[in-house]
Amino acid sequence: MTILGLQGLRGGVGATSVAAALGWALQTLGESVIIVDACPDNLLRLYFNNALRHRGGWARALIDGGDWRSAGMRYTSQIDFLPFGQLTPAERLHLHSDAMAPVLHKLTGIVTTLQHLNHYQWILLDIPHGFSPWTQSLIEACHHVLTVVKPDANCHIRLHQQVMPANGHVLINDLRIGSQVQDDLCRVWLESQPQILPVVIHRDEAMAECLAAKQPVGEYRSDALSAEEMVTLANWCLLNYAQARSSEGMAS
Amino acid sequence: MSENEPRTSSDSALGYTFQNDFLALSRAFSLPEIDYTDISQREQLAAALKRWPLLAEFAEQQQGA
Repeated sequence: MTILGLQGLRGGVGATSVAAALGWALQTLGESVIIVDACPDNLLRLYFNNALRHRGGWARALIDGGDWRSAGMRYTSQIDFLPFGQLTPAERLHLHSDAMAPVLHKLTGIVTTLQHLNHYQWILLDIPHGFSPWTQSLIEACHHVLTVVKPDANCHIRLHQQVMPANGHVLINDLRIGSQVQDDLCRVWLESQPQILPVVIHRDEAMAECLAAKQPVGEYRSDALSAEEMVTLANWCLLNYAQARSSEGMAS
Repeated sequence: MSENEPRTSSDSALGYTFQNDFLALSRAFSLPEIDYTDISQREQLAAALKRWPLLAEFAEQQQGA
């Protein structure tokens, strides 16, 4: 059992697409996965063909005084997902208020409960970018965190000035072939930053299309470049992160 | 500005909260390790730094640190 968090260095770098795609890729390697949406935008579910009108999710359930367990959804025999749930505009406005804090903080407990269920080999967390006390405790609960970056100048600046999860690696997503500046940034990062993963996800139309098709990229176009790269990433995760599973098993 | 500021120096409640937050933050987070040592030795990378002033400035700043 490995708890792996995925978080964008900033918004719009494709962390949710990667979370959904990695879940699918791990499944193709025979792993069982639950993907938990920790983002109030509640988008992850739409990669798993969830109906737009569906409002359920762990946060929605907790706010309404229900049980978060009832919000879990099954996609395939090996992929479950737990949506965040749809918030009203007023709830979004008060997301960082003291009233909402106890709800959001409960996610760490939910993840611990899922861990103790021992039903899944992987718990993937789609964590919103930025820092807040509740995402901080969530990140501390992860065995590993993949910070998703786009190879652009914005991310280059952020890599120098933003603190990052100590238990993490950096994943380059959306690398455009033939872009001088992106190529240069990647070369510099690969040489200067030990946390950068050697596995890179290239920009790919299939990755852009898959949300419109309401599927993870590997299901939508298994032969697409990005889908193949996601399988490579899943293999890398199995080799490097699944060790937490055995050491934890020994400890418990 | 020193990183070795005594932890007891702040007597305001707000300062205390910030200090606690900082300690909690530093438990799980850190600035990324960046090592530019070999970069200027490599032709392609040196060209990249030459091409983009922002990259050159960060590399210079880091090497000077």
